[in-house]
Amino acid sequence: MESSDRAVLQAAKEAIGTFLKGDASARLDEPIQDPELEAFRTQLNEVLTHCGETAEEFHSVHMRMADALTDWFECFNEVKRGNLDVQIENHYGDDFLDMLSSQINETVSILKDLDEERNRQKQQLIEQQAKMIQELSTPIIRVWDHVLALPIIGVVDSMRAKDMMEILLQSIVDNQARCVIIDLTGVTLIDTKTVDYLIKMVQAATLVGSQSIVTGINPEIAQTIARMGLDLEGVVTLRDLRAGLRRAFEILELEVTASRGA
Amino acid sequence: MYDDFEEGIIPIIRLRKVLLVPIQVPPSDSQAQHLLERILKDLRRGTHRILIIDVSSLDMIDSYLTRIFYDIAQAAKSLGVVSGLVGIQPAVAITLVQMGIGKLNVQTFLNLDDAIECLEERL
Repeated sequence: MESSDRAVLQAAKEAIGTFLKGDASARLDEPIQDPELEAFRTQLNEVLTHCGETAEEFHSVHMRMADALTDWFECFNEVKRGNLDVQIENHYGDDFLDMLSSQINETVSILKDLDEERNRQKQQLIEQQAKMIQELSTPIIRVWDHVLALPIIGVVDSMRAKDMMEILLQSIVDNQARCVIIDLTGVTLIDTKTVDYLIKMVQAATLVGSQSIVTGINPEIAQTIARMGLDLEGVVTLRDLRAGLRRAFEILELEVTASRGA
Repeated sequence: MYDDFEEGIIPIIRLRKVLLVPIQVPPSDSQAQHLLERILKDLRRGTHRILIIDVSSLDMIDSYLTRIFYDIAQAAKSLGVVSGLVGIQPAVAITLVQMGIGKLNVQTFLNLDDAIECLEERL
């Protein structure tokens, strides 16, 4: 082997070495006299260029995929945390990746729709039940023309008392009821607050223009009221619903008589 | 002291022996005071025996107005006139009760018919 050949080989080795170390621009730059060696040099340069381009392409594909994976991962994490408003906004310059992204977006929005639908149904159910409970807790009976009865059953708390007062007053106005009988037969336990609500309810009914009669206070409650030193000021109280209705008839100046002289 | 516009806000209707005052807009304090004076002037001059104030269009009654109603009723009483309030709205009643004004010391009625019927009996 001639020394010039050896030099060319050495140069080629060096160029390949530099290339492998990461410098993609490494080439055999100096032209060679010998046509055979010159052909080898050109070929080697072509190979190096080709390898460089391929590596670059691989690199960019790799980067794009890394970007996409990061975005998807974040997206999934958000969804897992319950945030269904996320959408992948980025484009990766790659049809396949973009297609996958848009499919993930679609899936997330379908999930979101389902979630909203479920929440809506749940809300509807809660509202229905609340309405039902409210209606059941304030049953207003039209016992006679212009006479309403409100039987109270169970424990009265502030929320229920407020609802009851509103519903009662509205019914008084709607039915133009001149008398309201509030029946406490179903109330087994009473405290200061409940008595306070009761007095307020009676006062409000009077303000609207309706006379209230409280009936059916059982002995225990009567004792409690007496022991607590509460004053049912200005509240007409009677023994039972029957007595209350009789008083209502008196107020309305009605008289109940047997049709045949029984 | 009062311009014509202010004076025209609250009408006073004279119908046989009834003096009917429908209040449609919440009056200011000075308007309420002025109303009291106008009503008393009318009552002294006329032959009315029943005074009815209709508040069914009011969705708010403040403590000053309740005071004026009480004053009007007391003054009317001293002139031999029976008086009543008609048509307090449920929401107004609830507010009054929660403000601690459970009693107005004025008789209240659901509607005009009730009021006239009841008040005629008291004459």
